[in-house]
Amino acid sequence: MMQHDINDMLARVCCKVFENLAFMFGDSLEKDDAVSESETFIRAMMTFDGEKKGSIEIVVPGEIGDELAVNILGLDDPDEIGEDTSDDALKEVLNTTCGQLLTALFTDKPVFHLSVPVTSALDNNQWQELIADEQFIALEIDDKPVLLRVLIT
Amino acid sequence: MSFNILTVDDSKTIRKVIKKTLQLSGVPVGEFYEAENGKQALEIMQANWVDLVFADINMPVMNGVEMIERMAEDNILDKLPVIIVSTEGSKTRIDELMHKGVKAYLRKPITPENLRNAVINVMGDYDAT
Repeated sequence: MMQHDINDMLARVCCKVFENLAFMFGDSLEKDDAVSESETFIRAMMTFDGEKKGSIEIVVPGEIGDELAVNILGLDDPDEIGEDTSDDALKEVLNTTCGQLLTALFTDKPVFHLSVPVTSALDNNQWQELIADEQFIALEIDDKPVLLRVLIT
Repeated sequence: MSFNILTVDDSKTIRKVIKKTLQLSGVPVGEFYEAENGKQALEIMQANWVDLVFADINMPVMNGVEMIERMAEDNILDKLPVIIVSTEGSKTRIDELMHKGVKAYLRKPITPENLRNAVINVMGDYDAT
């Protein structure tokens, strides 16, 4: 399967996960339109190992992390968001996306070992660098840009 | 009748989601215990009365598979039903877990309906009169 097809699958699966997990709706987005004025971003990354090895990443503006946490936990008040809740919520989106993507790409036969997702904080300059990276694709989730990358070896 | 439930997941958010989904599903919950990994879960099971365990697979310190293997070696914990809640979709892995004694497998994201059905399948119909 070509990387382009894998990226298409990744975009579809990730949009579905946002929809099912957090009632947030997404669509594909041209990278040039992945503009955000956020000052902080959250990057989540995990690896998988089995029939194929690889890694998957998602990068979102900070406000999406908060919205995810509110929606996943069904909170009425955004002030209830705990210190790590946004990171945790994004990790769960990535974890679920990874599991669903591997089944979509390789069927439900092979067993993959998934790492525990890890998060890090990025600033706007780093976000711009990732937009320039050809390996990343962009999505629009609730009118906000999200970057994704899957690498399979 | 209510069930003492232990949820094992390294994500605090997911433990909260399971708790909330249980409330929405109408499953009667007595005590709700939480553990971050299999090791902590075994300690809770040994110190408290637990009726049902929801466990993730991928966790640091001790993962869900190791936890189930340890439970199988204990002549009390081997009878405690475990429902796996995971993102993994490998049928081979699910069959392997069922062979180790897991009672049900729920693939994330979970809904109140599929959670309730899994509990009924494992624990019997608590609504039946």
